[in-house]
Amino acid sequence: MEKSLLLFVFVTLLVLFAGPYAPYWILMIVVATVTFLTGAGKTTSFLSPGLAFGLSWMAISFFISIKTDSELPKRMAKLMGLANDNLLLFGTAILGFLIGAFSGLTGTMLRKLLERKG
Amino acid sequence: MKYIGFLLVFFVTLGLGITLSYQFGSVPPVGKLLDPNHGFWQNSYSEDMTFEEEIDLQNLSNTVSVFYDENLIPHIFAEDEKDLYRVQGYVTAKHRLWQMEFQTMAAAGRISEIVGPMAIELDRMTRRKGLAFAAETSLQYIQKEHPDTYELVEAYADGVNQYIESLSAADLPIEYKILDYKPETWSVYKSMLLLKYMADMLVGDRDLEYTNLRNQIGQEMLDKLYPDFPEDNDPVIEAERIWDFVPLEVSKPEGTGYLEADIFVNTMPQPVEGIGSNNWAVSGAKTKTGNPILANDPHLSLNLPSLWYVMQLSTSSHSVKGATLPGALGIISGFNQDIAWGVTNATRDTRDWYAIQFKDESRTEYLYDEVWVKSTFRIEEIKVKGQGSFMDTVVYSHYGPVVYDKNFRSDRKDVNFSLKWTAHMASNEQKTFLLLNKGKNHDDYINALNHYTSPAQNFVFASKDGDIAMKVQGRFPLKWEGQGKFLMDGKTPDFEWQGFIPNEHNPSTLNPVRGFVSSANQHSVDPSYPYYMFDHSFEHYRNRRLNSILEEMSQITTKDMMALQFDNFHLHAEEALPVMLGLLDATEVNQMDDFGKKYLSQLKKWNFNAFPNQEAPALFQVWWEKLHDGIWSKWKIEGRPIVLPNKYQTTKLLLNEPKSEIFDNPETPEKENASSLVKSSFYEMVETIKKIEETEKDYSWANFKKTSVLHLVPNFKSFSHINVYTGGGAGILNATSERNGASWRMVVEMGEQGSAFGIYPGGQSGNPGSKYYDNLLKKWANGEYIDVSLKFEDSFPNPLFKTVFKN
Repeated sequence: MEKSLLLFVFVTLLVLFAGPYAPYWILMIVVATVTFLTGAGKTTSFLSPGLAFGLSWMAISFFISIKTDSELPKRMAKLMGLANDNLLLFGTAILGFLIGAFSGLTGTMLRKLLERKG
Repeated sequence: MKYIGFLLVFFVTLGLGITLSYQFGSVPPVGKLLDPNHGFWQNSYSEDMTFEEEIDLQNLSNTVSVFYDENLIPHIFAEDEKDLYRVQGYVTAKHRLWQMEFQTMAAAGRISEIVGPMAIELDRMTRRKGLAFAAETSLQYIQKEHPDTYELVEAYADGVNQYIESLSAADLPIEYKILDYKPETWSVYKSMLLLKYMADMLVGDRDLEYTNLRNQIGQEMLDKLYPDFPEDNDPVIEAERIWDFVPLEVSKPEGTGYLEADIFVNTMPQPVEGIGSNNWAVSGAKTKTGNPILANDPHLSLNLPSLWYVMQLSTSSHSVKGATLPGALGIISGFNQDIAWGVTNATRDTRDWYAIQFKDESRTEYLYDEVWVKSTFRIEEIKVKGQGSFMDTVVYSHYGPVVYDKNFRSDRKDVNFSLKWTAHMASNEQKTFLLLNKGKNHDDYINALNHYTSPAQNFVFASKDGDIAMKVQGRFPLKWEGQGKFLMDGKTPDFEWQGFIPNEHNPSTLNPVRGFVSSANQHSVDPSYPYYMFDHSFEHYRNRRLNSILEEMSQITTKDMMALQFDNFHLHAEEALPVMLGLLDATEVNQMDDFGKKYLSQLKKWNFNAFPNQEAPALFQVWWEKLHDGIWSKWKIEGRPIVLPNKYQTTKLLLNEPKSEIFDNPETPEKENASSLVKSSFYEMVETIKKIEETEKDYSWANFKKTSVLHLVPNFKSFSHINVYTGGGAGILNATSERNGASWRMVVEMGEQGSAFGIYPGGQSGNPGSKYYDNLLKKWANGEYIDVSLKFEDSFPNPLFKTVFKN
C-alpha cells in the first residue's frame, strides 16, 4: 500500500513538474527506473504509475481547457475524427495511463527477471 | 516464459514511447500531439495570456517597444529602420511563423517535404516555372546593387531566427506538431521567395491556349470574340489622358509568322477568375472634409492563417500602418502621416512561350539564329517525406526554363516550350515598399515605384498635400502588335522582346479633372496608348460599376467608401438577364411547371443585388453557367487546351447577334440559336435548383455560393470556416465568391486628423487555438471595419499588452 502511494505521488510530481522540460519518453524511462528500484508488485507497478500519469495528463489538459476557453480541443477532435472534445480529454488520459502503466510494469518485470537469475 | 512476458511488456512500452512519437503515413504522432505538456493542448493559449514584458533581442542598437491593441495589432516603436525591421521579423514570426515558412516552401517547390508524394506534381510545376531560380537571381542582384536593402532584409531574417531559436517544443505552432516537422532557419533568400510567390499567384498567361484556339477557329473569329479592347472600355488611366511622351519605336520584323501546330500539353492551372482587386482615391473636392480619401481591397484566395498581417511600424522619423505580408518587410498596402497607397493587380501578358528545337535527345544544344547554342541544366532534387527524393532535370534556354517537355505534361518528344517571364529577371520589389513606407509626397511615390517590376500593379496614391494619383507599374516588355499572344518560334531572334517600356512611359495620372482615380483589374489604358498592350484576364464589370458611382458621388465620407467596397450590385446580371429573358419564348413560359414559373418570376423581380439572403443571384448564376457552357462547350477537345470567350463578349453576342451561326453546334442535327440555348439552359437551371431546394431546402445566395475561408492545408477542415454568411461575388465590387474575395479592405482619410479603417477575413494570430485566429472574420462578412488609425507611443490607448525588446 505504501509503495503504491509512493509511486503514485512520485509519478504525479514527475509529470507535473518535470513534464514541461522533457519529452514524455524520458518520463517513461524515469518511471521504469523507479519501479525497478522500488520493487513493488506487478499490479501496483502497473496501476499506480498508470493512474498517476493518466490523471496528471487529464488534469493538465482539463486545466488548460478551462483556463483558455480555446476552440482548439474542439478543432483537434474534429480533425482526428472524434465526435467531441471530451473524447479527446479522455483519449489523453487513457494514453497517459497506458504510458505510465506499461513503463511501470516494464521496470518491475525487469527487476523480477534479474532477481530470478541472481 | 518469463522472458516472453517481459519482452511483450517491454515492446508495448517501447511502442508507446517511440511509435507514438513519429508520424506514420497521414497519422500524426499521437503521443507527442496529446502530451499536454508539449502537444496541441499547449497551443490553446491566446497571445494575451502568455505575453512577455521584456525580451532580449541581440543586435539591437536601441530599446524597441511594441504595443498591442485589442485586436492583437502590434505597433512597433523603434529608433531606426534596422531595429524596426529586426523586431518586425521577430514579431511576425511570433504570430505567423508556420504560414510564412509554408508559403516560401511552396514558392521553392518543397511542399513534398512536408506532406509527401501527393505534392510532387505541384512542386515540379513550381520549380519548372523557375520561382526558386528567380529568387536566387534577385538575391544576387540585391546583394550587389542594393546593399542598403540587403542589410535591412538581413536584419528582418535575424529577428525571425532569434524567435525560432527561442521556441520551446511546447511553443511550436500546431501545424508543425501535426505534420511532424520543424522550422528551418529563415534567410534573405526566403523573403525573396515570398515576393516570387506573390508574382506566381497573380500572373498568368494563355498563350498556348490561344495558339490552339487560333488554329481551331481562325484569326478572324478570334479577333471578333477576343478583341484586344472591349466596346465599353473604361480603363484604369482615364481615357482622356494625353500621352505626353515620344514612344520607343517597335515594329514587327518582316516575314514573321506564328507556328501553326496544335499544342497537346496539359497546361498549368491559372490564377482563378475572381483574383483581382479594387482601389481608388477621391480628391478633396469630392469629399465632405476636403481631404482625399483612399480605398484598397485586394481580392485573393481566402485562407487561414490570413494572408495579411496588420502592423504599425514607427521610427523616430516616420510612422506607417497597414497590411504586411508575413515574410516581407514593411507595409504593402497602407499609409503614413503624409501618404497612402494601395495595390491592385495590373494584369498584362508578361509571360511568353518559345518553342525550342534541340539538336538531339541530349538537349545540350538548341538552334537559335542559325547556330547551335548551348543550353544549361538545373537539377531539381525534390525531397519527399517518407520516401526517396524525386529528381527532375530542367533545361534552360536563354529565354528561360523549358517548362513543358517529354518529361512533364506532354508525351511528345518534340514538345520543348521555354518560358520567358519578367519575374525571372533581377529586381528589388522590396525597395519599393521600403521607400513607400517613409514616402512624403508624389515624387517619393514615383521614385519608389521605379524599383517595382513584378507582379505588375496599379498603385493608387493619395497625399496629405491633396494629391491623388494612379500608376500602372511593372516591367513591361516592349512588343510589336500581337507579339507573345501565341507560342513563338524560339529559333529566330525575330520573336525576341524588343526591350522594355521605360518606367516614365508606363500609364499614370496625377490629379485628373474627374476628381478620382480608380482601378479594378480592367484594361490599363485607352487604345490611344502608343504601346501594344494585351492580357487575357482584364475585368469588364467592377471597373464600370465603380467609376459610374464615383462619378456621381460628392461630399464623400469614409463611411461611403466602406459601403462602396461592400457594394453588391451585379452589373453582369443587369446587362445579361434582360437579354436572356427576352430570348425566352413567351409560349415556352406557359408550359413551365410550378418551379420554373416561380424561378422565372423571382428573376423578373430581382433588383440585381447579390445580398446573402437573396435567391435570384443563385438562379442567375446557374442559368448563366449552363448557357455559357451550352454555347461554347462544343469547342472543347480533350487534351487540347483552349480558352472560351468571356462573359462580357458572350453577352454582347447574345444581344447583338442572336441568330448567328456561332450558336449552332454542327455535331447535332438541330440548328441551335441563342433563343434555343437560352431555353434549354433555363430548364437545366430549373432542374439544378429544384434539386438544391429539395436536398438543402435553401438556395439563397450565401448558401449557394458557400464562401469558405480555408486553412492553407486544405485537409485541416476544422481549422477552416466553411459556408460563411456573406454576399457579393465574382465581377461584383464586393468580390466575395466561393474561395476568393477581399482579403483586406482599407479606407484611409488623409489630413491632420487622418483616420483609417481596415478589416480582413481572419485574425492577427496564426494559431487556430487563439481567440485572435478568426475574431475579425464575422465583422468582415458583415462589412464592418476596425479602426486602424496611427497611434502614438506616449498616448497609446488601452494596450492589450506591451513588450519591450532590449539588447
